[in-house]
Amino acid sequence: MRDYIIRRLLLLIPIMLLVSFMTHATFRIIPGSAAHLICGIGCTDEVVDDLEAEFGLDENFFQQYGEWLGVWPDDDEGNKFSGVLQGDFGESFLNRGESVTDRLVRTLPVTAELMILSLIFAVVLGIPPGVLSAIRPGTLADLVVRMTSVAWLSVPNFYLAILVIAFGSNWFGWLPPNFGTGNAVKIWEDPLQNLETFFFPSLVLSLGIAAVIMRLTRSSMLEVMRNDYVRTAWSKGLKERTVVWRHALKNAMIPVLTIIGLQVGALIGGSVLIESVFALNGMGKYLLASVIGRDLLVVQSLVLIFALVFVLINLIVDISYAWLDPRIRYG
Amino acid sequence: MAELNYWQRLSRKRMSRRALLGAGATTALGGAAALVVGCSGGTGGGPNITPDPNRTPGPGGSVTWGFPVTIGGIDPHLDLTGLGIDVLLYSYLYDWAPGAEVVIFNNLATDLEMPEVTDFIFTLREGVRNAPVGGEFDGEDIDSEAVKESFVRRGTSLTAVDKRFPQKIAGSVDPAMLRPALQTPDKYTFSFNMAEPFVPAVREMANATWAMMSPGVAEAAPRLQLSRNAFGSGPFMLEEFLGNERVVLKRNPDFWIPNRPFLDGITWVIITDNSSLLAAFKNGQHDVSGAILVKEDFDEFDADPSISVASAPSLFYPVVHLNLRRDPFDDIRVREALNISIDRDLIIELAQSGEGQFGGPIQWPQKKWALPRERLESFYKRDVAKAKQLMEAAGRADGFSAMLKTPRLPGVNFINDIARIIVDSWKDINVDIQIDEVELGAYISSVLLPGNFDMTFFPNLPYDEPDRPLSFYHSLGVTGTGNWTGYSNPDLDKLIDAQSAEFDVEARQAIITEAQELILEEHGPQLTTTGGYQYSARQAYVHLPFGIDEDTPLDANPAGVDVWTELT
Repeated sequence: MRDYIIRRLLLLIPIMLLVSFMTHATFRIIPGSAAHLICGIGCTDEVVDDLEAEFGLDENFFQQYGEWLGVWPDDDEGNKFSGVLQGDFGESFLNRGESVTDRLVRTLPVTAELMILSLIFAVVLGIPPGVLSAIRPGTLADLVVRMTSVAWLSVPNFYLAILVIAFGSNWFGWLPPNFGTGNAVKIWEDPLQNLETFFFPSLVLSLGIAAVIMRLTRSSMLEVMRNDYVRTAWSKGLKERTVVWRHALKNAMIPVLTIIGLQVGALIGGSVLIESVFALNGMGKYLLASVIGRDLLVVQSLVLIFALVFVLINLIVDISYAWLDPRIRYG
Repeated sequence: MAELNYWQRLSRKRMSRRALLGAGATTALGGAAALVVGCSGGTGGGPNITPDPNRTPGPGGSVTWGFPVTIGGIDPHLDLTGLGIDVLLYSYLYDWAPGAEVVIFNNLATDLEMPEVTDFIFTLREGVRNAPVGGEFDGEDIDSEAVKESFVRRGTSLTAVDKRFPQKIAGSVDPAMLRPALQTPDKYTFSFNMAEPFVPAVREMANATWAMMSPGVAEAAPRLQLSRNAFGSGPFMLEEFLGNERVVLKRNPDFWIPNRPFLDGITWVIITDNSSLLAAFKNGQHDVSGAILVKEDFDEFDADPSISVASAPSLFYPVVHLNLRRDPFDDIRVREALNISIDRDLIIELAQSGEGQFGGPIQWPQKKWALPRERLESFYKRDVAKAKQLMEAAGRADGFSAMLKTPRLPGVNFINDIARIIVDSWKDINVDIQIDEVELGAYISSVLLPGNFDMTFFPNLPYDEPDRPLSFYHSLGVTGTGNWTGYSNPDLDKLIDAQSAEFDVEARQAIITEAQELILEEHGPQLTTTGGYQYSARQAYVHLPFGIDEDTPLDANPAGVDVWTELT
């Protein structure tokens, strides 16, 4: 197991390089740069050139990427390296002088909390109804669960978010605490207020994923419940609760765990819009503004972080297979 | 008989009342807990304070202001998104009353003499100093040297699009010639002579980009990171800058006007989603709304006694730019047909809620300079029959197809609404236009600047000096930065240049009217549509010295100084 984990962690390096390289290449291809957004319709070629020189956008592709990574020297003497490898993600073009690292330190906890809570909600809202639907097929409960999952899959989460804000504020005169201040309370400062702030954003973000989990849990449980060992468990006179939760569910969870790991990508994408609507100053909102503003170093850094999170979570998922199924061993 | 499982046995049993009540109580408890966590603690509407008509302005309190756009930086000479905040952090030579079009000497300059129209001699106020932000430049005088260094910094800035003003001071396009052209005869006198008359200079110097900073700050600017820090002499000091999240200002205790400003602080909260911004204001989390409001919002707020609203004509005006380098837009008959078949009344009715007027080359709120309303309504009266005749004369009886490119501007949906009305109205003359909405960065770099469009539709930015809207028709382009449309008319260029040098108001009016009449006859390169209204809203306990529906009073103090709140 240890060797497996080390191998997977080593694989992170080429994955991160590939992701950041592709992001850099994509940004160089798409039209417009931060210079155009800064000077707007008053741009002239000279102004654009000067601004791009200031940002280092006039350097060649590999030099610029290498400097950001920290493998190409920043200075002409070749003495100074400052990049990702040295823990420096660079400076924003649009927010002049702002260190990307400082901004990440501020926004990462917001997005992390949003994603963790969303995952918890997704699991809580997805697995138990999925199990219920599987062990009571063809009943009213099964119908309700299946219809609910379709509904949650159909409605875009950003639309739900707007509805929550619009109906909450117009009909009930309610908004999440600190909504208009841009200053969400940290969980260790005031846990209750923090949870109040993140409750609805996390709930809205989790519904689509919960629906996927719900449906997969249902189909996986249906398959597992037909196995001989489950029939054996019944015939032994075990309680329903024991058969379902201790024997069947564990084996049914393997594909569900896989999906949960893959749905982290959906969480990341969803966080971009959810944070904007709920005015949460997280990495998603930062990424959206940076893409629109062609803030290259910020986008590269954020994409790198998101890719890292995605790969790490899927590693945890893979490791958890061994816990769920003792037959699985990693060499 | 197959043995029944637990659930089947359960479903056959009669459920006891105890079990039913227990299940119901558990469900209700769980739901209530979730609602308590999710909903409690949130705001339940605004403070709902009825303003006290007997209350007089006084010190204390702070105001939270919603803001819809990410603030990239607050360097007044470089950053364009934080200018609304810069006016509170820095001093300026003077203020401007856009209605009366006069200078208000309520800031650094106490007087301006112009012995000749090219000579500017400013007398500066003594006692204006940098705010005590806790740095090496605290207390530095804002004197003639400060003005000189600020002029150099702004005049040579990369993002100073319109370089005509500093170039006319320098008498050269070489930025190095600007500094020697600026004079500081004594500590509180600043002067310069322009190489040629330039009327827009007077308005330009009141612009938020011409902030005054002390010589030490100007010199040390690269290391001070002025995009994120402020070392100004305005009524407020910077407490916190998080441009994508919030900007917090606090009172400058050493401001040169005694007992001012009233407020202890102002906080801007950046929320880029317009509906969220509106919700925050409605629920009292913001004292002043930063949302883009429409008439329906205005009417809703107007009915609420706890909210103060105002509306005023907007200088923000969307226009269709035609690329005269492309067929058939080089044909004046086609341009006229397009122009007179736009249903401007429908735009006012549908997109501007019935409030608005036809716009000419200079927008109608600029009453001194704009063409009379009757003239524009007569000229732009929709005439589909005549338009069809023109198209036939141009050999386009069957119409043509083209692409209209618009920028995707977050939160500004009315642009596309107006574009669709225009495109629909052109169908009556068999002109089939496809709207292509382009992402903003790509729009600027790949569509607008290289002139890569048949037609493009976007709002011209508001400017309350007639020279700027006229410059769109100059062959050198907007303030000399580029001609996107390929239009060139030497006679019009002469008129535009002449009006910018004519200080006599009546003479300038005559030239500008002549220029506008010439532009009307050209039916391009811009097809102007209509101008609507802008709306503002604030909680009634926040008091502004004047609203957007009033001109700046001639005895007004600098911006932000006289704002006060009843919540102290």
